[in-house]
Amino acid sequence: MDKPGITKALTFYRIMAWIVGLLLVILICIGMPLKYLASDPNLNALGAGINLYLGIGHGWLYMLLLISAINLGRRVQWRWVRLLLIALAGTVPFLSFVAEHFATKDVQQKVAALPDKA
Amino acid sequence: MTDTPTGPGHRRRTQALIWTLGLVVAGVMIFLGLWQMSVFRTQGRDALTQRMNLPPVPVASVAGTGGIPHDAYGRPVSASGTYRGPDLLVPSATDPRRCRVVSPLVLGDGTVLPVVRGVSPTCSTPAASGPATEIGVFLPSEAEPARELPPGQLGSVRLPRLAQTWDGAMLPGFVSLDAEHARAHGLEPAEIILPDGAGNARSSGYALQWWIFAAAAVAATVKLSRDAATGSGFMAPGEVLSDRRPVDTPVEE
Repeated sequence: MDKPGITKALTFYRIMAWIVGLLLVILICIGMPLKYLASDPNLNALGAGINLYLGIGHGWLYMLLLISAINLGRRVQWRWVRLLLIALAGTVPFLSFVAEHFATKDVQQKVAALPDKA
Repeated sequence: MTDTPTGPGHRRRTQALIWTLGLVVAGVMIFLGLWQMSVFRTQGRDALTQRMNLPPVPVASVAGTGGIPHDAYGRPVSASGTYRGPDLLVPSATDPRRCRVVSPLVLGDGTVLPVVRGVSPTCSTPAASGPATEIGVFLPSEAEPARELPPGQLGSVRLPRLAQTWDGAMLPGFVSLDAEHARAHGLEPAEIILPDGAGNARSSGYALQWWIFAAAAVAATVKLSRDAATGSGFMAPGEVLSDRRPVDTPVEE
């Protein structure tokens, strides 16, 4: 197993998980209420703009998140169930942070168990 | 032949399940992409059509000179003023051999509202003059025509061009008269081309994402099926702790 490779893959995955998680939180907790619940039309328009740009951006970045998770999963021999859970967690606000926490913990344990190369 | 959880029979069933699920998921994603493409387009056009059938409001209440109109474009407005020539002829949006007749309606405060009074099949019509109260859909300036026309001819209802022809401050839009008012001028009503750009780009973007996800689902199906056949990779029986493997053994072949 390639320790530096795993560390890089983990960093890539963590960055993507945080970006996608934050975008989803902004989208669901700020953009949607502004667009549909605010009484001021200017705020509705702001919400619509947030949803339009962050919505499309979130879709493309979510793909990168999946790629980063698969890249990491191949290196640390995750099973498909964990990847499926990470993929699903990326679609629920705040859950991608939880998934990222447990995934990082798991990878760090595996890396710590690796013998250092002489 | 015994069928253990790692036996060939079990692996084939797992592969069959993976392919069934993978193809169902990919199929659903392809369908969602197609649905997104069509429904968003239809909904957008329905919303615009519904907007064009709102009751008219005075144009001054939604648009003024020197400001961005608020909630004005695409809705019916009414305007009272006096026609003051000269009229301009612009090719019809649907049939370039016919002409839209554009006339300046000078409102009470002196501002000019360009009015597409209707379409003339012969490109000749009596000039509008005198006071009038008009009702039609308020629209934003059209784009420059694709091809250059001889001097003095207009290819589209382009407000900066109209402003060079007519004196006075101009409202940031023009009115295309409804059927009743166009016929009152002896003209056929001009067809309104619904804007068709950003909404489609957005739904196309979402649709493309669904189709990429569908392709990824097929790729994942192939990968998982292969892993299931060998009992390795993502389909290994259990997560193998890395310290149980030789250090330099690659994870994937």
